[in-house]
Amino acid sequence: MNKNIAIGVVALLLLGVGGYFFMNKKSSAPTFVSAPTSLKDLLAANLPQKCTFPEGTVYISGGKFRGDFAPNSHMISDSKTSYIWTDDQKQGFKMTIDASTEADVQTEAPDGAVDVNEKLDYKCSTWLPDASVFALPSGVDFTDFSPFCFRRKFCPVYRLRFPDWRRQDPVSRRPQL
Amino acid sequence: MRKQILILVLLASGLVASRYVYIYPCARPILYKVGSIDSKFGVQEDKLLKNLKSAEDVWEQPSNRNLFDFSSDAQLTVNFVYDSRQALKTNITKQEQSLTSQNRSLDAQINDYEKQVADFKNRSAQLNTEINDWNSKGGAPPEVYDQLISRQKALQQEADRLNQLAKSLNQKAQNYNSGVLKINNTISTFNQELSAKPEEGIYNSGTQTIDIFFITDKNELVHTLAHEFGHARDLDHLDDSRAIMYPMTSMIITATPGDLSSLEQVCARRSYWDVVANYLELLYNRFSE
Repeated sequence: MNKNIAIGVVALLLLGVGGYFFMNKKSSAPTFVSAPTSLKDLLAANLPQKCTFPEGTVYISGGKFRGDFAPNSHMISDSKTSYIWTDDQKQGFKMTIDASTEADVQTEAPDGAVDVNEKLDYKCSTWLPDASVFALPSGVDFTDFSPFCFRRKFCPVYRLRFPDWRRQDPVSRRPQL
Repeated sequence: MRKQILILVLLASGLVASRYVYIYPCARPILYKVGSIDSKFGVQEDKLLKNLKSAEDVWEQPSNRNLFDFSSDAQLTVNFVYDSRQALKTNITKQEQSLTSQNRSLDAQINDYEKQVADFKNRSAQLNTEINDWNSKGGAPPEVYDQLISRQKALQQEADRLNQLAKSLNQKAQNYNSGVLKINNTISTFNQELSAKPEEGIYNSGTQTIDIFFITDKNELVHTLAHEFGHARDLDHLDDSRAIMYPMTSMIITATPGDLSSLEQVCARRSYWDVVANYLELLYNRFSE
């Protein structure tokens, strides 16, 4: 079940939050609300704030994002890397979106087609940024699911071998006179 | 319940949107920097940078794409790591140079010795002919006899000198052969090292590093760098021994049609949907293992 939650969070990250948060750098007006709003707006505002909603709490500051989701799932993201873990597992996930890949993404659909953010009743307030909130938990091993690692089935190492001709033949002795 | 709905809505909308979001994997060059260069290689950084540029050209010129650029801020790091294989190869090269020099010198000396021996044999044969002539006539007059004895003594001295020279040359050949024994031991160790550590270059996709272990031949180095650059650009190995992406080094620095076809496949536009689907499939496989 916890794996399912984690997969769900990863899928969320990949498809919704991650896609927008990492690729759309447009700034919009600050949102400090206690009325229905979208996660899109909250993330795009990129101002220090803490938002609660029935399923958890979200912290946003300085390009960093932390989400604590009930009952025990967590996610921390900066501009490049996201970390996802649950309280009861020592195995977490890590995903890095390379800056160049990020810039290579082009949307060919109108914004209206991407209803990534339903308006929900987030209760947000200004928040004095606390670096410890964005610190990774100790004792959790994060498996790298970054795109370049995914394509290669989890970050393999490629080895280029010496050719056979690199092996040397012995030198011949000289005969005596 | 609300959480599940939220997840489903986000998931569904994300999936729909991802069909219309495209990724252009080669739209921007991969940036690389030079990390460590072991000074024991004795190679200047600017020379290595030229080789790295040549490796870029292997892919960029035929594909007409800007695929790699040097940048001191890059994540991909190229390290030049000196280990026992390079040390042994350097040692072998030095020993080879010394042996080659000894060999040339010995060849010249032996050539000269053999000329002297041929001359000695001529003179010796001529003297013996003269002695035989006089003997057939019943003997030589005293003054001729003295002269023949004198020439015979001179030839004997000459023979002694030549024997001494031969002994000296044999000693030199023996010294050379000792060198051969030494170099063959080094070669044997080198070959064993190649069996134990057969990689000339390594690309680690997790740490984004390229480690190069061998700098001996320019083309071989450029080939190795181009091969590792290929991996950094997502290319896998190919079976064609002439290909840059063949898993064994060669001196070839020209990409084959197979190399370029693989590159075009990697660089082809794809939807975010496809990428995500691939990730999820891999995730599924991972967790169902």
